[in-house]
Amino acid sequence: MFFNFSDSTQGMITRFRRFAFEVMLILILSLLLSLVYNALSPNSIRVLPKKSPDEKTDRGKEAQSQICLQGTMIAPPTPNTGNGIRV
Amino acid sequence: MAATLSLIFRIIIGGIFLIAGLAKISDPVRFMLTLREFDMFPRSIIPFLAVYLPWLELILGMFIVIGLLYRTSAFMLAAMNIMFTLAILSVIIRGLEIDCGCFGLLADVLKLPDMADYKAVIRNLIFTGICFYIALARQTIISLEGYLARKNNIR
Repeated sequence: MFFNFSDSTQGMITRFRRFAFEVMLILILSLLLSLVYNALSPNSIRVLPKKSPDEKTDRGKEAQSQICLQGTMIAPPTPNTGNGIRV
Repeated sequence: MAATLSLIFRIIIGGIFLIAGLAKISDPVRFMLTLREFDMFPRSIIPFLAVYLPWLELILGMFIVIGLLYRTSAFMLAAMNIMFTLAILSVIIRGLEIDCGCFGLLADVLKLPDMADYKAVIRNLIFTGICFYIALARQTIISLEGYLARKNNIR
């Protein structure tokens, strides 16, 4: 031991460690129960945000960027002047 | 006398949070929408909070009623109540008129006041005070923790 605490300080540290342990125990127990119940319940909520199918793979991302690239290459339709010539 | 009062408070507070937790667990979508109306949390963690917080309330309420880890549970419940109070105060300051979502489905069934207003703040502060009393009371009666301690001493 590097530090020599007095008996009262040691007691406080022990009590604080027990308190922290109990807090963690309750938090973890609640977390486990909530996730298990949510997984089994018919009216469950999606806890993690859903990724779109295209974002899931690198190929999807690549395809998405290609679509954007093509989108910029296509020129918008020009207005018709009426005499058959599009400006 | 103090021990009896601690038991009465344990039953009241533990019972309230046990029932409130159950009411929210039975309708998580409603609680999720309420949390969204508060406009305080990032959208991505709201579903997690809607699933997790009711269970935390339920476990804390149950532990306080049966008297297992009741001091720690009372401290945690007091901390939760303080956070709920701050959230409701922020809603009041921003001028939003929304449900506080404290009792979930039960508010409609029993026609309980469930708006995020000053009444909810006062109620939460009273709950916080009672939680601190339970946590700091020297002794209590009829608790599982006491029963287990006695059993270990006899052995």
